[in-house]
Amino acid sequence: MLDIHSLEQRWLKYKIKRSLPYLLILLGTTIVVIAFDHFLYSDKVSTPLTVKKEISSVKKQPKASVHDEAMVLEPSMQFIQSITVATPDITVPDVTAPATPIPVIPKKALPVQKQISSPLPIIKNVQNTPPAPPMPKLILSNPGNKTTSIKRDSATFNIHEIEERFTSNSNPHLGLYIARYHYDNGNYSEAYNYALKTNAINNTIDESWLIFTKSLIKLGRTEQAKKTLQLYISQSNSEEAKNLLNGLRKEGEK
Amino acid sequence: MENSLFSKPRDLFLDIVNPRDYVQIDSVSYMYQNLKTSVQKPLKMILLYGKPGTGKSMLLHKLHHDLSKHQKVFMIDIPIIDEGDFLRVLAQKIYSYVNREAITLTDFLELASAVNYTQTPIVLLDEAQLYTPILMEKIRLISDARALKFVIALHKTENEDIIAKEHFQTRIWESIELKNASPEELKVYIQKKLLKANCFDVASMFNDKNIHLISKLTRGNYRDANKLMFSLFTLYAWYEENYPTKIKHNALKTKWIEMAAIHTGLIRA
Amino acid sequence: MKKIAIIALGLLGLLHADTPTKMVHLYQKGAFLEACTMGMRHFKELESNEAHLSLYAFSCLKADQIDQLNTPILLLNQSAEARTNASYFSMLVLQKKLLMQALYDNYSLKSLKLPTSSHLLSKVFTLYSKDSQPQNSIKEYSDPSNPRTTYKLYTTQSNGRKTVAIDEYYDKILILHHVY
Repeated sequence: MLDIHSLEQRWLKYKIKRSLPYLLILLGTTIVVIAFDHFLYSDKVSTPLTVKKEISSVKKQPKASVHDEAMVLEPSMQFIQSITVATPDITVPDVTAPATPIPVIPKKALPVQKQISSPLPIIKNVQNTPPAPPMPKLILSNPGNKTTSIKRDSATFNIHEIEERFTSNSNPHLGLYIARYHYDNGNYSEAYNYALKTNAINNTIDESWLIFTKSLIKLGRTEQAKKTLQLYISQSNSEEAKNLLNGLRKEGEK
Repeated sequence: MENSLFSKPRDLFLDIVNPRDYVQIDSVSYMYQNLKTSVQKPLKMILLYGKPGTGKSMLLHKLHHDLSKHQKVFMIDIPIIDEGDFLRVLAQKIYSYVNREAITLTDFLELASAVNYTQTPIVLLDEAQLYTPILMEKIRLISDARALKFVIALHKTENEDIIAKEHFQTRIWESIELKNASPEELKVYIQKKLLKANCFDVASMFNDKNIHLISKLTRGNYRDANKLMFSLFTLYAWYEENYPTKIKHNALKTKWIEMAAIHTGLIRA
Repeated sequence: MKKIAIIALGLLGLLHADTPTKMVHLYQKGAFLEACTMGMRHFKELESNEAHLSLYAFSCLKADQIDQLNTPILLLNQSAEARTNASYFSMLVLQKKLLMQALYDNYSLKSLKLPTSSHLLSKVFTLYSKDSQPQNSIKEYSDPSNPRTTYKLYTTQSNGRKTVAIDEYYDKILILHHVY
């Protein structure tokens, strides 16, 4: 008669005994790999696998800094070469080069632009463009107040340069800036155009949509402005857009 | 437990040599046909050798079963070590010569020449490695006198090799070596045995992985395979009674095959 | 069992070999924040190698994660290059902390003479030291080396924590917004 219980125990012992060599091999290999890597990447030992170049001594470069008396510290990027032996095509980016811009974008992505059935025409600018202004000077109003409004002195401002830059790089923030500038200066058709272009690049900028609809209102296309606002509100729930639409409706009732 | 699905298959693998339980395996079948043909030729001896458990006894029994319908065949499956008794039994069984006392070789040969059979009687000797060299010499002399034909089955060990070579080399008409079964042959052996007994459900539980494990454990030895199967089905019968949900009918459990192997001593644990 | 052992060995090799290489690729692509985050997660793999540590530190610096420089500062000390970079990072961390103190607590930086560098934080720190503009909550400075570039320095909150921000403008257009 078979004693199943003791047979099962004997089987378990047999399995453990059989697995032991594999476990030992695995453990041994892990130890070897760890030891090898520790040995390989140890700074005290030079191995044929890592290409260690002599570190150049730190040079204190007398840069034309804003504060001449201060010591200038500059970092060293030589270490990249020791990492990139296997991947030779490394361009060492300049530490002072600007990172990619981080635009402020509202969280909801809106497909509002797609819902406008008829393509809106670009209105040609019939107004005279202002002459090329010099550099603006920023004046801060209410110095004691924490919230600051910034007034632009447009006398020295060159909008064309910015418009050219917008044409080349399609930066929506530049587009918004230009639309805002034109709206503030009463160039509603230009404001409409640039707001339209900005929305085409990035349709999540609230202010761009507001300038767009306000420009439509100023150009006498109130119904179109209302429709646009309704569509935009249905997607974004923008409070300012709602207020604007309510204002339009009240004016319409009058 | 006796009403279990596995009790009948278990009993099929009892280590009993019964020619009716003979399972035809291609390679062995071919050898058997050759053996049957060779036995009919005018020869003195046929040597059947192989490791224990390769089916020599089964083959001899089958040969005895098949030939005895047509001619005089006598099988000594358990060796008679005493020479006098050996000859006396042979004389009695073949020539119907009854004598309570042992007879000598000379008497036997005289007896053989007096009784002239149209077909030389055949004597099948199993476990011939147990016979003494002197007795083997007498057997050689009897075969030389063409009194009898001998089919000798013995285990293949170093010693037996010497016996085979030195005493019988010139006399052996044919020597047939039986080898352990390949995994495929073992699969055929097990499944045919089960199917012959209508154990279809159990026969379908064997997959290739199971067969390879069984082949690896038994090294293709039929005797060890019988013992392993017997233990395995005993285990299955127990689990069927106590833990029926543990039994899967699509394949055998590797764990239980290994447990059966531990029980039969095929695995040392 | 054999199969498990082979798979485990393979995974071990894969896991171990990849982090510095991946970080280099991310740095090349300009994904500095990703490289910095990866370095943070797998710091154990990097800490024994100064080159890897430096890569991690520069990735975080480029992603404006100044606070992450503290651990590399402690560990970069074996080679001359490492010590150079450690001093550089230390200076930036100090300048950030001093700016925070100055903006939140009206701490005067006029008497301090610290090293400087070409990094934006150092530039703005130096400009602030010269002219703290106490009346303005948003301090504005133009870059003496490039009059078309201006900087705005102000306090802000990031993930509920007080910090400082610097905006870079070119011709009055916001180019980059840094939160340190």
